[in-house]
Amino acid sequence: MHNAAQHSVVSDALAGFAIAALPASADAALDAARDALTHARLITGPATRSTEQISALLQSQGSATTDSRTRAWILGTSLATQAAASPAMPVLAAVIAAGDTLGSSESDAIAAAAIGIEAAARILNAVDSAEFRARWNVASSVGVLGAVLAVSRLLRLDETRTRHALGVAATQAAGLAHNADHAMEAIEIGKAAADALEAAMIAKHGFTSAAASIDGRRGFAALMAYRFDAAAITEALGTRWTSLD
Amino acid sequence: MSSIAAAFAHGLFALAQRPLPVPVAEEARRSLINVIGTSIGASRHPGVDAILAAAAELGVARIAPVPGRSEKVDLHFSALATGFAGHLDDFDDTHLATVIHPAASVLAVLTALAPDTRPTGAAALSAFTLGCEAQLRVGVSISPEHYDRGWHITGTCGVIGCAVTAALLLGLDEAGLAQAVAIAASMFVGQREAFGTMTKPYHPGKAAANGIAAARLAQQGQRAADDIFEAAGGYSHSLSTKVDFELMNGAFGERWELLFNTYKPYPCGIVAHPAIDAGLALAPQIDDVQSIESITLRCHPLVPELMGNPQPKDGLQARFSAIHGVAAALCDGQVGLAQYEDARVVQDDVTAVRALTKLAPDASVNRDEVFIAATLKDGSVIEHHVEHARGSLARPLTDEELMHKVRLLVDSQLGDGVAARLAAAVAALDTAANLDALFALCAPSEELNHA
Repeated sequence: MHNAAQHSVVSDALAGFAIAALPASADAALDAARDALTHARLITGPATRSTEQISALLQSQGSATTDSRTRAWILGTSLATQAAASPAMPVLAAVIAAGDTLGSSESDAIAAAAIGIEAAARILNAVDSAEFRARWNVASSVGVLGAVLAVSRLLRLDETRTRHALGVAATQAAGLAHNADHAMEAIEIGKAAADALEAAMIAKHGFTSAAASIDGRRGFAALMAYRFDAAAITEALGTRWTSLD
Repeated sequence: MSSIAAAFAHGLFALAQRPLPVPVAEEARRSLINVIGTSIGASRHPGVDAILAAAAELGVARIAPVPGRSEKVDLHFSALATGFAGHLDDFDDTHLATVIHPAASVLAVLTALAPDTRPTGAAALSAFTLGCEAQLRVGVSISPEHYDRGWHITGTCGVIGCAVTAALLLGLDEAGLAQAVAIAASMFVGQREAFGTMTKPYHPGKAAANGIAAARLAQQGQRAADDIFEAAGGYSHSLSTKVDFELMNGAFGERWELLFNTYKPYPCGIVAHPAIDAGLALAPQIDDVQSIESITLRCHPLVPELMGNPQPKDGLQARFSAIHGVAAALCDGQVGLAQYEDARVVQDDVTAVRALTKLAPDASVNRDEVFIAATLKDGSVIEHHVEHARGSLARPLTDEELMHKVRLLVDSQLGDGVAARLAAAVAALDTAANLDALFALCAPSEELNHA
C-alpha cells in the first residue's frame, strides 16, 4: 500500500539485535536462556494428549515429525501444556526444533533463545494492557515475534531477510484470549513456534514483507494493541536485558 | 441456545446435503475457473519458489500438487503455495461488499486435500462453494470496521471458509464442522501493513493451510471454546467493533453472498479498475502520450487511500498505483500482467505519464465510477465518464471475457489449448467421479518440462 512505511526504527532495531554479536553484558541473559532451554528439553519429553493430536495432525498432512516446523508445533504445545503460558515458549520450541535440525551449537542455540526471549519481553512491554490481554493469547501472539528473530539468527539470515521474516510472523500473530481455559491455548502457542519457523524459512529463500510490521499504521501494534511504547522495544536494546527484570 | 459456531455449521451443513441452486453452481464454476487461471498464471513467481524451497529444505513428503508446477509437497505447503499464487497478481475475484478475495484460499484447500480425500466433482464444487460462502458471511458480519481498521479480511475470514471446505472434504459431521470453524477462529491471519509485498498473497495461502489444520484437529476431537465467535475475547468482537451475527447466520439457502463475487479484468486491486477503464477509453484518442499536458481522475476517496502510489518502483508497488494503471493503458492500450512486470513499471514513458496524472478524490463518486479529463498540450481536453467498471456487479465480466483472461494466464504457462480443456473439466464437474483429470491439466506436461 502506498502509505506503508518504507522504514521502521522498531523493525530495524529488532532485526539488528537478532543478528549482532552479544556483548559481555549478555552473560546473565545467556545463563537464563541456557536454564530455560535445558528445562524445556526436560519437560517436553513425555507425550500429552494435545501433543499426540498435533503429531497426528501433522503426519496426516504428510509432514514428518522430524521436519522442524512440525517439531516446533509439537514442542511448543507440549511446553504450554505443562507450565503457565509465556511468550518465551514459542521461542524455546522454535530454537530447539530449528537448532536440532540445523546442528546448531549449544552456544548458538542459547544466544538465539536469549535474543528471542528478550525481544518478546520487550514487545509485550510495548503493547501490554488489560485490553490486549482480554482479546489475545499473549504467549502466542507476542511469542511468535521473538521466535522468528531467534530462528532467523540460527539460520544466519542477514538484517534485511530477518526484517522480512519478522513481517511474515507479525502478520499472523494470533490466538484468542477466550480459548485460555481450553486445550486450544497450548495448540495456539505451539502453532506460533511453527509459524515463526516457517516465516524465517521462506524469508531465507527470498520472501518479502512489510518494513514496519510492528509499528506501521496497519501493523501488529495498530491492529492488536491499545497502547504502543516504541521505546520499550528500542531503548538500550542489546545492553539492558528487560527479560531478567 | 446454540452457539454462533453451531448455528453457522448447522446452516452450512444443511446446504452441503443438497444440490447447489443452479445460479450458485454457475457462479461457483466461474469463480473456480478464474482462480485456477490466476494460480497457474502466477505459478512461476519467486514467492512460489521461496515457499517450495522452504518445503524442500524441511524435507516434507511429496503428496500434493501446486497448480502450474511439477513439484509435489505436503498438504501445508501445497495450500500455502496455491493460495499465494491464486491471489498473487491481485488478479483473482472480489466480493465487493467485504473486499474479500474468496476463491484463492478455498482452491488451495481443494488442491491440497483432493489427493487424500478424493471427492467427486459435485462434492468438490459443493465444498468449494460453501467455503467461499462461509468466509463471505463471516466477512459481512464484521464489515466494514474490520477491514477499515487494517485487517486483511481475505486472510482473517478466509481461514474460517477454508476450515469449512476442509471439514466437508474430510467428511466431518455437523458437530465436527462446528468444531473446525471454532478452532479456525483463533488462526486468523493478515494485516494490511504488508500490502505491496509478497506477504499480502501469503494471507490466503496461510488461511488455507490453517483451515486444513483446524479441520484435522476437529477430526481428532480437539475443541475450541464453543462460543468463540460471540464471546468477549473471542473472534468477532476482538476483530471488529461492529458485529452482526444475523448477516453470518441468517437466511441460509436464500441469501448467497457468492452470487456477488466479481472477477478482475486487470491484475491489481479492484478500486483502481474504473480508472484503468477510463485510461483504456482514452487510449485510442491519444496517439502520442507526449502530447499530454495533464490528466485528472475524479474518483472515489478509496482510490488514493488504497491505490495512491504516484511512482511505483516495481510490479508489486504498481499494483497499488491507480495512476500506473492509467499510464499503462495510455502507453500500451492494454493492461495485463505485462504492464506490471518490474521492468515495464520503471520505463520512461509510463513514468512520465504517471508524473502528469493526478487523483482528485470526491466522495460523490461511486466506487465503480470515475471521471477522467486529459488536457493536451494543444489546449484540447478529452473527457470520459466510466459509470460502472468492467468486472463490477453492474457490469460483470462476460463468460467470454473471463475465458479470454484465463486463456492468457494458463496457455502462456502450460501450452495452447489447456485453458479450454480446463474450462471443459470445470463445466463437467457435476458428473466427474474425481478431480484427477482437472488437476492433471493443471500440471506442466512432460514436453513442456523438457522444452
